[in-house]
Parts: sequence; C-alpha cells; structure tokens
Amino acid sequence: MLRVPCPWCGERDEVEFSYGGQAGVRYPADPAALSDEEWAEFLFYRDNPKGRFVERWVHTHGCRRFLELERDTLTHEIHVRGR
Amino acid sequence: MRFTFAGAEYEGREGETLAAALVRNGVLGGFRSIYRGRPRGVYSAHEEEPNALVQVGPEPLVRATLVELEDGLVADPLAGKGRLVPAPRPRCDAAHARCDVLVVGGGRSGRAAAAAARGRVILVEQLGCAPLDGVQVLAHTTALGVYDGNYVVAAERGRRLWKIRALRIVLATGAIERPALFPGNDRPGVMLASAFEAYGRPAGATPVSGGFSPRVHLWSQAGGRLRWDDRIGAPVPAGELRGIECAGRLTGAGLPDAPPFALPDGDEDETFVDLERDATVADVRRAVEAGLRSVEHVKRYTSIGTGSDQGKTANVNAIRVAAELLGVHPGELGTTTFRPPYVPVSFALVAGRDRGELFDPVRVTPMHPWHVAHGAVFEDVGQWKRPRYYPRPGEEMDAAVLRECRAVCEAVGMQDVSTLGKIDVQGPDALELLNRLYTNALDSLEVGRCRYALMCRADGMVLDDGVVMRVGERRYLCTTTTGNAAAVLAWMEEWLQTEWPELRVRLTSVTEQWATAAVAGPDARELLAPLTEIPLDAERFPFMAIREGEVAGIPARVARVSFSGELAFEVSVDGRRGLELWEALAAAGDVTPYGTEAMHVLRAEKAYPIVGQDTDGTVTPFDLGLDWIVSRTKPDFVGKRSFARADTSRPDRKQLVALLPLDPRELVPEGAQLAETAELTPPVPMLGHVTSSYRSAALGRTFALALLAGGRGRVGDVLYAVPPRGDGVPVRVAEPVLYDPEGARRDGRPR
Amino acid sequence: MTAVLAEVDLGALVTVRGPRPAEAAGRLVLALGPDEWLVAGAGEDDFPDADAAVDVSAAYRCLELAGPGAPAVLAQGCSVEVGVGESAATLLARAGVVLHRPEEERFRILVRPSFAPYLRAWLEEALTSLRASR
Repeated sequence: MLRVPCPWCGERDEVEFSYGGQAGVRYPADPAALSDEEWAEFLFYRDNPKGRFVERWVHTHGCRRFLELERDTLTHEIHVRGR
Repeated sequence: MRFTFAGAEYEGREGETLAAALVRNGVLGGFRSIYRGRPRGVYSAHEEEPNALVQVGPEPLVRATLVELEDGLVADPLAGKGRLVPAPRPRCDAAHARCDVLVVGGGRSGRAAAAAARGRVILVEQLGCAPLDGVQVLAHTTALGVYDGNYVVAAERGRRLWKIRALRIVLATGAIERPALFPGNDRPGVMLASAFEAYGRPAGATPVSGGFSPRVHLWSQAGGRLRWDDRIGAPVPAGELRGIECAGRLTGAGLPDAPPFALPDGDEDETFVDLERDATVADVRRAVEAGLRSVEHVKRYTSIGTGSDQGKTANVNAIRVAAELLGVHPGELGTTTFRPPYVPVSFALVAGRDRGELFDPVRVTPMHPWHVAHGAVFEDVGQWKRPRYYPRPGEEMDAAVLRECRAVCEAVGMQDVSTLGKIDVQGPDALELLNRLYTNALDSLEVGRCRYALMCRADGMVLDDGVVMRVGERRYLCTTTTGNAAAVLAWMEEWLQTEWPELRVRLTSVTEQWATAAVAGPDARELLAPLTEIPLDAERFPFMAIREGEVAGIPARVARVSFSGELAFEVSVDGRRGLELWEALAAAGDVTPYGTEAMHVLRAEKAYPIVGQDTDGTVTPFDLGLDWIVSRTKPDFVGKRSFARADTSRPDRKQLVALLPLDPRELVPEGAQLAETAELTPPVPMLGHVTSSYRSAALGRTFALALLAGGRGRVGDVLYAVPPRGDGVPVRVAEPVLYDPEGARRDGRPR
Repeated sequence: MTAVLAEVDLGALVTVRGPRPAEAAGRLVLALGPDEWLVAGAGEDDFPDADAAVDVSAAYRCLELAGPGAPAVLAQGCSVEVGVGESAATLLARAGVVLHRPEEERFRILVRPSFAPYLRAWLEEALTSLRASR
C-alpha cells in the first residue's frame, strides 16, 4: 500500500488514487498533420523504464486533482513533484 | 477453567496457551503427522509449532501454541490438514492506526525499544504482553507483512486486522530454535529446549536444540538483505533499510553458538528436517542426488517449508543439510523467498466487514421503497439496484416485460431513470470544452434545448453517450450512462486539468441532486397535463426541448427526450422529492411502471445502442451507424484523428445490424458467435457476436442486435448464431432499425 | 467506549469553485480540493463571483458520529485522521465521504444519498463491534 503525496490533501493511502500513466505526454498540437504511425505512437506507446519514472496519479477519492510524481519502479520510492 | 481436547476434559489456567495447558496436564503426544501418521506432541512455544495443529470452533487450522485458553474451549487435533467448518463466521474487524514507532516483538529488547521511543508508539506481540506506559500494546497480535512505506498488516487474535502505517519500525522478533538432527527427533516428548524452559521443564519431556535462527522474515519482506552468520549457523539481517531497524536477538546478538553441524549418525529417514511436512534428511539427500542445487529446488522436491508453519523450524536446517551434502558453505545457497503472510491467516479476517450484505455498497434511488413495495425484481447496474421488471402476482418475466412494453407503446409507462450520471458544466468556456469532448457540433444548441451526444476516446472508440442539455447561456447539464457516471466525469476532468487548464469551465457531479422519472407512451401528455402548468403540446414543447415549471407541485425540469422511441417526458426534481414525484405520477392515472428490461427491448427495436452492451471499447460511432452524430465541421475533437486511421475505415469492421431468427419464436442467446455455416469445422471464422436479444411485443417476434463484420453490406444474408453449447440458430441479417424507422411515434398520436 | 450515530440535516448545500468563500453566520465551509468548497447554509446565488456554484442540497446526506469512541469507529474503515476543526474528502469503508470534525468527539460524515443505507449499516456494525471489544 503505497503512500501517495497529494499536494493538497497530504499523504494518503494508494487506494484513494487512480493511476494516470506516464506524465508529460502532451496531446499533439495538430493531430491532422500526423501520419498514422505518429498518431499511433501518441495513442498506444508509453515508456516503461526500470528505475525512476515520472507519472501521473489522480486523487479519485479525495480532491479529484491530478498530480505528478516520480516513482522508482523497482523500489517504489516516491519523490514529490507537485503540480 | 475447563477445556476439551480430543474429547477429553482438562483443567486450564488464565493466561495459558492451549499448548502450555496440554503439556502441564501431561499431554506430551496427542497428535499425528500428515503423511506418515507418526505420533507427535507439542514441540515449541510459539508460532513456529510444526506438530500441535488444532481445530478450534470455526478456525480450521491453528497452532495450539497461539490459542489463548478460554473456559469451555473445545479443540481437536489435526494431522497437518485443516477442516472447513460449514457454519458462517461472523464478520471480522479491522483497525487503521498510524504511529511514529512500531515495535514488532514484546520480548526484552522490544519492550526496551518501545519504552525508549518518542511520539506515538505501538508494540505488537504474538502472545500475552504486559502493558507498557505510553505505549499502545497489541497483545496476541502477529505482524503478517511489511509493505511499501512501512505499512504493516497484523492479525489480532485472528479476529481483527490491523493496518498500521509507521514512520519507523523496530523489528525485535527474536529467534526460532531449530531441532537437533538425530533419528527420532520427532517423537512425542521431544521439544525445543526453549519450549522446555517456557513450559517449566515438564516431566517426561526431552529438550533438544540445533541452534537458533533469527526471525528475519519481516526484514526480508521489506527488501532487507541477509548474510550467513557462521557462529549461530543461520542468516541474519545485513545492510540497511530506510525506516526499519533490528534489535535484540534478531540481529544474532545474545544467541548461543550453534552446536557443531553434523549429519545424523543413524537412519536419515527417521531424522526429521520439516516435521509438519514429514520430510527428513533422507529426502534432502534424495533431492541433492537427483541433481538439485538450489534451495528453491530442494524445497519443491521435498516440500520442505511448504506446510502451514512455512518451515519455520525447518528451513535453516534444510539449508545446512543441503550445503553439507553439496560440500558448499551454507551462505552460498541463499534462502527461499520470504513472502507475507508470516503466519496463515483466514480469508474471513482479510475480508473483514466486506462480506455478505456489506460486500459492496448497494446503491438505491429515492424511489426505491416504492419499487420494493410494488414487487419489482431488481438487476444490478454497477452498484445500483434498478427495477428490471414489475411482475404481477404469478407473472413470469417474459410476460411482465411484454406487458410493460405494450403499455409504453399503446398507453403510458413510467421508468425511474435517476441512476443516470449528471454533470453540471458551467463557465465561459463550457461550450468549448463540450465541443472538444463530444463528437457532435454543439454550437447550435440553444438555451432550453438538448441533444443526444457521443463521447469517444482518442482512439476513436465510443466511450459513452448521453444527452447534453443547455440550461443557461454558459451552463450545460450532461447525462451519462449509469455505469459510466464516475468514469465520464473523471475523463472530462483529466482533459480539463492536464491538457486545457486555461479553459474557464468547472464540472460538478449532480447525479444525486436530481431524481428523474421518464413518462413514455402515446398517453404521456394526458397523464402529465393535470399535474403541470407547462404546455405539453408539440408546438410549444417540441422534441428535444427543455421546460421548467412545476409537476405535482414540485419544482421540476422536464425534457422531451426518448430512449423508447415513443412520446416521452423526463421529469427531474430535487432528489429529496423524488419519491413524492413518483407517487404523484402513479396516482395520476393508469400508468404502468416499467423496468430496465422493457427499456432495453424498446430501444433495441429502434437500434439505439447501449454503451457497454452493444459496445465494448472497440466500436466507433460509424460502426454503430451513427455517422450523423460525428461533426464534419469541427477542426478537432477527441477521437477525430483516429477516424482517419486505416484500421478505423476498414470495410470489414464489425458493424451494428439486426438479426431476425428464421424461427420467430426462437431467442438467440446474447454473446452467441456468428458463423457462416451451420457446420462448424475448426477453425471457424468468427464473424461477430450477438450483443442484445429480446422478444418484441411490437414486432410480435424475437430479434437481436449484433456486431457483424461488414454487416451493413450483408443485409438479407442468412448466418448462424452459435451458442456455447448446441447448434447454431439460423438468422437473417436485417437493417438495424426494426420498428418505426421514420420516428413517427416520437410525437405521440397524430392529431 | 461508546459512540452514537444520528442523521443531521445541513439544509442548503452548494459546491463552489474558485477562491475560498468567506465565512459567515450560519455558514459552514468545507474544503473539497484546492479550489473546490462545500458550503452549508447558502445557495447558488450567494456566490456571483465564483467560477461556478452548484446547488447540491439533495446530493449529500450528513451522518453524525459522537462520543469518546467515535475516532475508534472511524478507524475501523478509514486511514485518515482528521484533526479538530478540519475536514477531509476520503474513503470510509467502501464509500466516498467528506469528513468534518467540529469537536474532538464529534464527526460529521457527508455521503451521497445512494450510499447512505450501506454506510449506516456499516457504522451500526462498527458501533456494535466497538461496544463488544475489550
């Protein structure tokens, strides 16, 4: 049971949150200009590193705000980034 | 106090464990081993007990060394296997706690660590434990596991599950004594030397010791490393862990030197390594001679360590024997992986209160008491109970549903649609947000009008549908399907917060602020008119308009939307007055309450899709035949780019069609796969599947909706709907809208 | 150790988005998030300058748990400790709630009406368990 640091509510148990996937994947500015391959890259491909990973969580059962943090996918150590 | 063991009564004392009481009463045997049926007796004084397994009340398998004696206790010996008791157990308890320091182990070093700690301190101890000033002592509580962030789960008396979050953990779990290895080291009366002392040196008992193994389990679970300590002949904690420290004999300190190790002099098949599993030195030798080199393999070959005691008195001896036979240093073999729970724990304890009626919340609408009182049969939609149909006395479901459908088509019915999600969207950029998230062009939606709208994911697949109502200049109310209410709000928030935080618009769930009754059928106006001052005629209240006023004296918003295809008014009132509205409608005339089943049939006749039934996350609006709902003028919206993907425009995509069984009375099962031919010779190409299937009152026959590869080009073809068992049902492919394709019934009876 | 469960009518409730609304007589302001507030004793029209104001008077019910055993009851199903005068949106058993602690031994539990029967049943059982524990 991870302890997730919500910037507004404080540290809460993992069960109050939903996972939000890789952080920093922006919706393309002009989707029409992308090829099918480039669009598929946005839709379906995400990083999966062994080690530190910047990701999003959303405090579903709390303030419902999205937050970003850095988690080590091996040790589950979490480093706060806020939002 | 008195207690019963194996049918015989004994005298016990306050504070004794069952094992201690048995030993004090001279019961040094009384048990049998699992496979070889060897007579056995109490061996230890704690959770590592391999022999004295008992059934007590509803507990199928516990160690006599952990059973707190109570007056009237009845216990029966078990030969290594538990016995399930059919009687239901009461729900178990749970408790959350947070502390600065959690100390595991109430021995000398544990108590010292707890006394010295500052802040909020909790001490857990498996057996009895004297109180300690300033410390919350949890006696008869076993720590089961250490999880991320110093989260510790512990079982108190098998009845309460503690979930403890600690800033610091001090492990003072001590050490387990190992058996000495000699033939007959399992005979009744042979027991660990520390147990011999703990039980007051019982007459007739033989103390033995093969050394001590620190209880490294929790340290290891938390990711701590181990190193072999030659002096004590066992692994000890090594390295460091953030927030967790070891104290006392767990570190190896204060433990005696291990006796010099030697393989038994005598019959190896009578020298037990794992007493609970009846595994001997001979078994380890057989494993090694079979070529096995690692501890994990030896464990699997011999089953050492796989018993309910998890090999607590066995694992280290197994390593030492294997190392000796292999001619290597024990430290080279490593240990098996330590996983929670540290001791066996019942499912009931883990489930806690989430059982029976409290397994999951049962959500009900304000009208629920009326539905119950009127005999509704309910179906689960997510966590909600929705009336499925309202059978009259003696009426079966099919008849009830046909009657309800007929009433909606020929007279008037009413349905409780309060469960649909409702989201308030307001702000200067409300329209902009909705235009980006829905496929429809919404610019032309005026105040006081509503529109059926579709939402897709970025991959172009249908996510949800609903009605967008414009209730003000900058204010909209969006409905969602019942099951997707939370998901759609979360989806909208995700885009708003993470992609478009500059948009000035705010979202609020109002699902429960409004209770809604749908009044549907040609007589809908006649039913409603006496209850409201709102003009209901088609000129002043056109299709897809919204009006506000009073219904049955209650402030209401009325929308002319229809999921049944008939003339319909959806009346929404403050949730606290939902029952009042419903009762007023029921009293207003001959109106038939109808449930989700009738609603499903009516909408299916018109091929209105149900998200999650006719869609599964792989279906586009075009697959559903809803081309008209996808704006061609908006430069972008979520999902638009994906419609142009090669895969999304394949002609053989699965498309929504209707199926008419050649036998108009035959009901095709939902989920049936569609095949080209009646004969099924594997591999059978699957052309699609049946998504919805019903008997129709209006059509006087059965029909189904299905997703069929290239379906729209196959109208007229005969295919086979194949259930899991049995023959394929011949069906003819038809245009999806089977009833009232012009939508003429929507305005009610012609004037 | 005892506690008592009752239901309380908070009257008008409105969800306000924007800066924290001012306190006022007869008004209770609870934080739901950084810019989201639940205000009891007010209506939509009382916040003309807010980013949004939505009447949610029918969308919450309020249960009140009072007595020295109240914290222990909540601890059976909630991992958040709410300080006196504070509030928190969190989970209690399997229901989303807003907890408010006006006094040391008095808690208000705001829950969606559809979850109220479940939560009441859960709390009644938790109270029984509290009374029975040593």
